[in-house]
Amino acid sequence: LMNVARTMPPADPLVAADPQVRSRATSSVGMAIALGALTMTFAALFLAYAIVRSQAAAWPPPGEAAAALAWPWPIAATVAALAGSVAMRAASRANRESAHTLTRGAEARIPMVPAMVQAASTHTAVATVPVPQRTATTITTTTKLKRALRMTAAAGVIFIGVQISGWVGLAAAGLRPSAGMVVSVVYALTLFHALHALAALLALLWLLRRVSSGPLAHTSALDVVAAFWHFVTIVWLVVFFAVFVA
Amino acid sequence: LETAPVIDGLDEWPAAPSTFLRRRVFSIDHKVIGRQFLWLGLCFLAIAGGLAMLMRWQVAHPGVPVPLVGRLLFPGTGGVVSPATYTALFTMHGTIMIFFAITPILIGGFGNFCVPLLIGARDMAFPLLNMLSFWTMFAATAVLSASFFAPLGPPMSGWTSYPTLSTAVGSPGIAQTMWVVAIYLNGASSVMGAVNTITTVIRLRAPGMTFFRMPLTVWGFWLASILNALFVPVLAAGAVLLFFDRVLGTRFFVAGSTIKAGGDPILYQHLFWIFGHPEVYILILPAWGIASDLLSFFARKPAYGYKVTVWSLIAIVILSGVVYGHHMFVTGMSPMLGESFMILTMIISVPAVILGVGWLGTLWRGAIRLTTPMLFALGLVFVFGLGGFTGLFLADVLADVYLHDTFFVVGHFHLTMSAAVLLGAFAAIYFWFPKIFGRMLNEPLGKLHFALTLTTVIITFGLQLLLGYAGMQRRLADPSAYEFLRPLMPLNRIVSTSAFVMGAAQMLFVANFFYSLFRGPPASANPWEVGTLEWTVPSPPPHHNFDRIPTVLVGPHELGNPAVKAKLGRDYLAQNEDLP
Repeated sequence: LMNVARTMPPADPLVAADPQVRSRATSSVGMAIALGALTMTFAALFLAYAIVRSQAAAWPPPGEAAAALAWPWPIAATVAALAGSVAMRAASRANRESAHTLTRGAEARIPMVPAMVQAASTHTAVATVPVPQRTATTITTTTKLKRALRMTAAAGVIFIGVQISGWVGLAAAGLRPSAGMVVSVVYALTLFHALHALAALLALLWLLRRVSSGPLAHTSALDVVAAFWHFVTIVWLVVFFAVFVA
Repeated sequence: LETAPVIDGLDEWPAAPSTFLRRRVFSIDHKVIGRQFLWLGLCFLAIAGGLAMLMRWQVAHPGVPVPLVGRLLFPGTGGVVSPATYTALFTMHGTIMIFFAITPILIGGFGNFCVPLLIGARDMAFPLLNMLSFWTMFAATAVLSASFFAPLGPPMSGWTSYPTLSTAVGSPGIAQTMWVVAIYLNGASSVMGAVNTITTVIRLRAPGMTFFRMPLTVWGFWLASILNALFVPVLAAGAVLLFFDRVLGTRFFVAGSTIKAGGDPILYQHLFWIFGHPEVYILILPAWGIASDLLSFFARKPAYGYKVTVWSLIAIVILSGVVYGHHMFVTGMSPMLGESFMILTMIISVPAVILGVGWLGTLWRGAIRLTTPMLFALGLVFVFGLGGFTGLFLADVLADVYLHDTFFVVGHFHLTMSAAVLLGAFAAIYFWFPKIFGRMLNEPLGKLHFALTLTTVIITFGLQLLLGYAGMQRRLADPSAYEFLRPLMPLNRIVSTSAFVMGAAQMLFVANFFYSLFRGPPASANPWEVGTLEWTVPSPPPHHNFDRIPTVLVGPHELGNPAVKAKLGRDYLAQNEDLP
């Protein structure tokens, strides 16, 4: 029993805390609420944009160049954002397959935190759940999962790179945030959105590290990161159409 | 969606961490985090209360050095509160009280401590997020505290920080930017907590704990969290744009001119009040929930109209999202829109009165035990009633045009969302102190604290209503400078004296708190003889809360049931207890 306990990964507070806590549904509910809250922030920002724009005499307002709304970099960013979401969907698919073959493993992994196993002297059944061997199938799906996640991360890095090049280009053309209302809107929305893209990218890198240390024992971590990733993509599409196209 | 198996017993629950850091500082235990929020909130309550004392001194005795601490705090003016200092004082007083005192005490402190225990869970749904929420709040308090010492002085554009006062032109220097950052971090912390509380209530209720068996306290925290998750993000958007305006030079809140296009200062007011009005319900909902439970517990009978109370709370939550315009009647709003906001605002009084009827119905012919928590709950009902009725005047467009930005508004919102909420917070402290710290507070001292607090609250804020009705504007550093306000100075001095007594009375609480923390008689598991789940476990509860997850059989207010009395010889039944 002690041998088994020692070979298990260290206690991850979120995983180890409670079977209820680590359940998919609980994390999905939490993520849905968090995304609802973020939606309110972005909705308020779009409301501000709508009010500013509706109050302007024309758009772009007289005396302001339309150069800030030129399309090349927003289109590149849109392509990167969409590519990232497509790759993320592939990762979700690979993860579901992997989770399917690892179901027994998911049950076995959780109780093996040393303190719990010691406390569970009357629950010997917990320690006797067989730990599955890594089969050929799980290895292929894990490789697929890793590859998809790396492609997603690459798309994310490209997206943020394109945004930075966009800001640098605007500034080089003399269009600093204080130049007028159009640039105010462009900078504020793309900057605030890019911060969330960066957060999504960091979450993805954390996920990649977890996948590299072994197959995911449960799907909720990837599910919530994927939900956040797609949310950031959708917000970008709204920014793109509302600010650059409309 | 897959649902997780509910695993009972202790075998899967991690043991308490052994290191000091993990146990006391970076803990993921909801009880420890609740205590951390409580301490943080109480510290800032004291600070913001102190700022109020300085303000009241200046209003009552303009130009006279503040006794005792004046020369220490304001050496540059010989101990006198200058107009600039006065402006900073009311800005920081409001900001700290609302965002860094009341919210951490009730939602951070008691929300964290109570929600899992009251619904029969071992912790919040996301313990790590919970810890992050506290430390984000801590960072926010650090930034805001630092802004006191900013080069050009603390933030000075009021707790609402309207542009143009709060733009880089109106408030040069870093202090206002720090205010914006602190508010954003504070909001992030609140939303993290809200996500956690909402999910916990949805997912982690013990078997048998249906929504309509939850204590009203939990309803209060849950609904406040829903409002938090929906509307704090709107303030965040306002803060983000204000930050960009100040730091990057964008022009969202800078009015346009014929030379250069611009944004709209009023836009900020919209973003602020879309959040701001739900915020007052975020503050009061937990207090209402707590009072509703306490009235039932100490009247020894079930809450009158439990379900009606819950539906009234839900109605108020929904209505609170569509009334914010009543804060902006004087911005040149179209009369049609103003009238819509007026009618919607007045409709809120319908569910609010239903709540009040429920409270009175609960008390009616009850075997009332006037313990300190009960006294504070009764005080809340009275003070909120007083403040609530004055809200009707402010909801009316015509009356509001006259009363806007006068002390009538100050008196109104202090009675409703400050005094009533604080009385609720004190009720919660006196009620759950035994459960949180394992010792009883001193009852006679608590009752004296209550009597002094209630009396001074009514005098201080009641007379502020009168001052405002007489035409005295808020935020005046020296009302005696205006001839038409000079006759009001005696009234101002009464208000200030009453406020000083109120401040002094809080020392009784501080003494009681610290004495009882170390020397109070040890609390039994259930000193108040009530049936909600937190009282079925020892005081303070063990690390894992429940040895076995309880199965809930009855509602939270099984009090005064003759069948229970006949069989068990006591007048209450625990929520997980079956009659033999």
